[in-house]
Amino acid sequence: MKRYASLLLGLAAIGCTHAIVGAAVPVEDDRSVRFPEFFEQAPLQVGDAGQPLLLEGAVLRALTLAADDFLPEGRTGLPCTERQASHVFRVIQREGIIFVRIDEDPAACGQEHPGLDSGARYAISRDGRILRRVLDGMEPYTAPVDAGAFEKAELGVSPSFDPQRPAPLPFLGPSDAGAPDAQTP
Amino acid sequence: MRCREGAWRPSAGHLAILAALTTGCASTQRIPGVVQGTEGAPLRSIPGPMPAFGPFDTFSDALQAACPLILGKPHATAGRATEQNFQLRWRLSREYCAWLYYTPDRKFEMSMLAVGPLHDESRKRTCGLPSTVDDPRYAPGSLGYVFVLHNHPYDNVLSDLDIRFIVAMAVEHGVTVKTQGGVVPLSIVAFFSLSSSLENPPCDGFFQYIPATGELLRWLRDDNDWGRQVIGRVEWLDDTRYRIVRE
Repeated sequence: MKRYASLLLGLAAIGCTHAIVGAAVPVEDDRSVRFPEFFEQAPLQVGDAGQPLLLEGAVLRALTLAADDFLPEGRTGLPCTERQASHVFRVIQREGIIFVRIDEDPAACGQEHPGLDSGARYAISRDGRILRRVLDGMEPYTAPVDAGAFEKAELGVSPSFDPQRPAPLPFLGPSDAGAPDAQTP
Repeated sequence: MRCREGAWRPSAGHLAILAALTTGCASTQRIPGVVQGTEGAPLRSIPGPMPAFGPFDTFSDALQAACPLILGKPHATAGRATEQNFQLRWRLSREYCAWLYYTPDRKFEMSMLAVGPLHDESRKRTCGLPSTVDDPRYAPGSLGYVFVLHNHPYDNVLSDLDIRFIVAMAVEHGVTVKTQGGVVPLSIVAFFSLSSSLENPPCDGFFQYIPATGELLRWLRDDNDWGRQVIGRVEWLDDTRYRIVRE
């Protein structure tokens, strides 16, 4: 298996990889590296079906580098949400770069939802260099060259929302679209 | 947080900033308007209303008041990313979050603020917001959930988890709320300041995602006027898959 379209790994795999990378590595900030969409495709997941999943050593090293950089182990009194085993890892390999996305697994810590901005993305070369790291909530906005103009508006109001024709999320049924949540007098 | 990017030698200016920042740290133990769960007992609901905040007749007025209140909390901003002390301020920064909600009295209120844990060695600047507000004046289930509010340390876009969280809230509460002034779409907002001011940084703008329209918006303040710009759209393919299309 040379390419992994998208790979979701449980931490059982990561927990076995610690010995590969011991020392900290520098973090570059190559802004030319563009991250792929991590949530556009359904991931393959290591499950109980018994089918083996093949990981190249370079991919394993990239996962370990990202995990150890974002969630350093060995710290005393680590809360649940700081432990590597409380996270899930998504991997996409593209054009010689291994992209890793790390997210909290809320069930691992008895929570319903992950915290806002609690994840991170890494771009790692196959020879083990962290080319770029973007922590959630830390990605600076970069305006495109052809960015549209600002228009004055009432604060918080959508430019296109039509209460008569809400465009709901496609996976919500009609009863979820435009339904009042509060008791309206 | 480990300093892996090379040795850092503090100047006198750095030390002055450090002193100011760490002095501020001491006061973060009990911050007015802020509640915090514990490791073994995370918040199951967030209490409301925020004392001395509302109520407001319109959500626009409530948003305008909420922004400086949140950015004014200790270490809610990190200054400009290009400034020398940014990394230091980021290490000490914290994320606050709250609900803006609609009450049976036809008013908009803000809940108390939740705050992310203070772990100096953590790379995360996160905030765990319960999905419901506990306002003892009203019956459970009678509130309308309108905005998830939080701060980013600078002019930083909404993250995947911001987007996924508000969609989870849309599934739980509905994508819109019916109010006296009309139907309002649920959305998430991340306030930011462009100032390097340590105390009372001004509210300069925010990012917003509206699941009912898919719009990603960026708002900037120009004196007393606000301007908005559509910077992208989120296209959901099913209940777990989506793509972000930048404009």
